[in-house]
Amino acid sequence: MTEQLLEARDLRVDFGPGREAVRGVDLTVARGETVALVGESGCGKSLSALALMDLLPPGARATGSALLGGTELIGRDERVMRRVRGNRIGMIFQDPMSALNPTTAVGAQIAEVLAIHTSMRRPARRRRALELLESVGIPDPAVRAKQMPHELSGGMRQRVMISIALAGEPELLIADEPTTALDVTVQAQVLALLRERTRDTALLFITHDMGVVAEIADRVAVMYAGSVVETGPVAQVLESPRHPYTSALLRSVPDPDRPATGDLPTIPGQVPSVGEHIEGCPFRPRCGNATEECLTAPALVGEAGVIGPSAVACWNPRTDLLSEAIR
Amino acid sequence: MTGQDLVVAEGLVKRYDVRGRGTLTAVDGVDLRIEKGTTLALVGESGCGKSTTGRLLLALERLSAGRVTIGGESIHDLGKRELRTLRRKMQPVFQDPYDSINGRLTVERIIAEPLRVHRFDGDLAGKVGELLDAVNLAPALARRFPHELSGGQRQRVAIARAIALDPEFVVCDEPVSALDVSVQAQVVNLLRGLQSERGLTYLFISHDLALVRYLAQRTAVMYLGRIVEEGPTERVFADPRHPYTQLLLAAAPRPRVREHDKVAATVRSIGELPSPLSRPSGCAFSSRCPLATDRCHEETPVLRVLDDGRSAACHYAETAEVGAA
Repeated sequence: MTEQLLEARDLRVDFGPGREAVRGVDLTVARGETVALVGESGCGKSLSALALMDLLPPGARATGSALLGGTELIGRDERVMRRVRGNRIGMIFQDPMSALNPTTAVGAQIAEVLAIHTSMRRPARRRRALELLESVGIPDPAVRAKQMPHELSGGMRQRVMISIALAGEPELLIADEPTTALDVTVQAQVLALLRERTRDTALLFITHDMGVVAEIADRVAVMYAGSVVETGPVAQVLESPRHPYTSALLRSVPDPDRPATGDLPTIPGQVPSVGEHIEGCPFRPRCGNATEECLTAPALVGEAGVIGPSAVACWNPRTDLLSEAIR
Repeated sequence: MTGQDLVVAEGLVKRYDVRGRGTLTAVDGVDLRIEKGTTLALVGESGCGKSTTGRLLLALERLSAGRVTIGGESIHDLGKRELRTLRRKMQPVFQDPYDSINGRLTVERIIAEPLRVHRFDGDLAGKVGELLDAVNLAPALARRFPHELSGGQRQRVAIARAIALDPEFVVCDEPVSALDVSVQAQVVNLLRGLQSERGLTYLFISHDLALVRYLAQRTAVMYLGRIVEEGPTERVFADPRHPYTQLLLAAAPRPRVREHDKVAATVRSIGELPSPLSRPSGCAFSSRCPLATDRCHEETPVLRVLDDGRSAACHYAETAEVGAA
């Protein structure tokens, strides 16, 4: 069994009593592994990631446990977490403009990160900043280093963010929808770059896009209504999803390789809102196969009754191949 | 073409003066025809001019050159009052309904607004109820405000408002891009349903090729202000002839693990869209095209009809295969 770098157990985020948004997330990321945390808006995937970095919005509170190489991340004071962020966890967000300083040249911003996280001297930092820009595929790094963030394209800005996130040589990189705002051609390039640059770094990749999951992930964790409902190796989850939600979600994704026949399959009903009381399985009201059992919440369990490499939180998991279900 | 073309655009040009940096040609000689009751998809990367083209087709922006006719009327030559009357027949639906609906009005008033403006004299409440029903929204939502709705519900409100005056032509500019996939599927199905019930004609602007395959009879691919390929959607998807179309299709993510093929590898090496202010000479795509020859850097290819009723603007359209490069 590979060593787990990140181990979250019963991670919860609430906005006050009875307003729970993350309702007990179990998640592991091994060293060097890329795990995609996938789900629709409001499922709690971004809040889970923010909880790991202690960057929750005001009014939100995290409970439960998340160990990073044995260090507890939940409930620690800001002094500890400031050392963890950047040094041990790097971060990339959807909009690099929200993370970059708009009035400082990008090269100086990378050098600044190096000043905080390394003992390099100024000339070495400057050299290293150019190397980092080059390593993320930015042409003419010496020219680009002097430019302001707004002078770069969205794809270039995201490359700069990746170089900053990796500057401190973190053990874990958390990327929250880093390619959502990019064109498909640029997205493909940024995903390839992330794959290549995180070969030895664990990556927790948060996305709503099953197509992106297929491109980047070794393993997938599917979230619904604040908890993980299914996890497993990427090919297994995409080809033979066991949770009815995963299966329904995958079927509603249009496929550019398949000629259109009739309407796109949809999922009836709506996602429960934050704080809404959930009795039993959260997907029960929308599930076609719900039974009496589903009034009791199913635990996320694998084959032998434990969370192994794959697990599902369902009393009646599917056993068919998705391609057969579509036909 | 079997049916009648409702929308005909000829030689559309839109230039903007960029202070101190010259002229930006966002749309550079675009011809389009949309048959009544069908959907034409316009696809391409951001900045290719697809949204500007959509706005020109609705006369929301002035043309620098060219002509747009809708049902035979040349809309850019109409006076203000005539254009206002014609606006009933053509409506936009944008990506973010927040930009196009007034957040301080109730759903009921948002949907009734165009009816009031065009002096609808029937049963207003009844008509609003009908429209809510047409977009599958519960009547109880009529008294809600936009911020109380989900993204999918807001987009349905925007669609209800767009169809309130029984338009013939609707420009949908990335209407589902901001929605979750399961909700996106519902809105796409709604747009298809409304088209078949009401005979609507759509221009569907999107960066999402997979969706296009579900919605559009014909597809036009745009690159730096020009159409580089146009044809029946199934032909364009099954056998794209322009290298740019081939790369766009290869770049679209699929919800399954793929063998990392050659075309996908090529996508990773083509870089980003050049600035429309510094358009490459010859073929505009030549600076990124893995198949480009000397001829491509010098001679601009024209959009020419291939033998299967499709058009492509590539010197080597008959044989171009990016995967074989």
